[in-house]
Amino acid sequence: MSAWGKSLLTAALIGSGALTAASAGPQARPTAAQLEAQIRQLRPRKSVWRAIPWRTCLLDGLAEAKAKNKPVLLWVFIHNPSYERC
Amino acid sequence: MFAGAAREAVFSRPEVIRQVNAEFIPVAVRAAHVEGYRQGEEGRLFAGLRESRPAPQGIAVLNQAGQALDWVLMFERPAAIGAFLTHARKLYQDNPAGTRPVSTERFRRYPSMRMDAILAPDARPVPAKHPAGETCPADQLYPTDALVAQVVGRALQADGTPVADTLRQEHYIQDQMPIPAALQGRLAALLADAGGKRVKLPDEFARLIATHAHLGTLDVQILSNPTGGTQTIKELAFFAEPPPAGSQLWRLSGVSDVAGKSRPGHQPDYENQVRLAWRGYLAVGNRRIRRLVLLADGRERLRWGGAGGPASRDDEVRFLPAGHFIDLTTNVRFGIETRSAGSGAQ
Repeated sequence: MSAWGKSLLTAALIGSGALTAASAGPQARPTAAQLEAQIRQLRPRKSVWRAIPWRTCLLDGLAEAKAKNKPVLLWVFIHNPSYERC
Repeated sequence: MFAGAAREAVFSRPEVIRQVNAEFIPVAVRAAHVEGYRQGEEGRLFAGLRESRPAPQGIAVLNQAGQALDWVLMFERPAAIGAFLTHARKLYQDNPAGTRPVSTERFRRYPSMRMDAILAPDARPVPAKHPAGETCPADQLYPTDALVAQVVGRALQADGTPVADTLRQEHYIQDQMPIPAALQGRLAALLADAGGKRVKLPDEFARLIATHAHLGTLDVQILSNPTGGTQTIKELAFFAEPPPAGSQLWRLSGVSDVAGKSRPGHQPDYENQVRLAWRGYLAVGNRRIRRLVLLADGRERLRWGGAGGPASRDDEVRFLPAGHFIDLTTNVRFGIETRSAGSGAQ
């Protein structure tokens, strides 16, 4: 294994707590609920990606534009700008 | 790169957010739908947009009839974003329903790089919603029987806490990962036939995970990169251990170690290496995944672009298709979990 690979693996094991878990035995393995809680902690409470509520249906958007007498700002995008990698 | 750069450099500016939310109806549609969706009224409107768009991706202002009043791809400086929106809104106020012919303005860069204007198709009444039996293309993103898992990833600081910035995708990613029904069926059958022993999960499953677990934009995706390039799978394997008594949750573990780089001569060039140690749980039933949760820690090396890009953050609006220079090596953490259909992607 290369030095890069060794450093990556070490970082992964330390970061994951796997070294600690391995030495402490199987009882230390996080539960599914604990893993889900850790994933929730990765999500920001407030994301600037979601500061603009992008509609995704053009017909709905045009109907709303007519009702509110506002122009549509159309963003031709790759995925969903509020939730997805782009 | 355009989409990610536009999200970061244009639509995350407080003054732009305020103006968009106050004065416009913001709609985001997929470039692939504008390119190829041809059904119903939305297909007709997309066809009209295809005639005037300067590039497959871009930003436009439409009137109530769906006619493009203005297109823009980049901006001369940050203040030009607001100036463009104000300018386009005046065009709208002058002809909100398209009762008079519309000449679509087009800017490669606003306001300095104007392209030829194009006459928009005549305005026609637009129905307020899709007719009964017609599905909006926005709701056809994935096969209806696919399970969509949510993916989140963060760069970590030296102390193991996430980097605070959640705007840049090299620091924070959120994504959706559809798991095809056929793959779910294969997983369920494999576990049913495991005889209570530890089993290696299908390579297709491992590859799906590794495809989504990286920082950065789609353009630095390691496996199945949309711009091509080379990919190296150094190690990629996931295993499932039988549930303990009283549980239906198989225990998952795995390693993904993949690397990719741009093909020679491709600009901007990239390289991306990610090594992750995974653990998690999987429950299956009736040939479907019932619950999947995976968490990984590891390290990522990511580089994108080089000379010729934006010189400063404010300069990024001038180079949206190119994005900004990235060169980082960081500890990372990724999470993947399934949620019930229709629960949103929060």
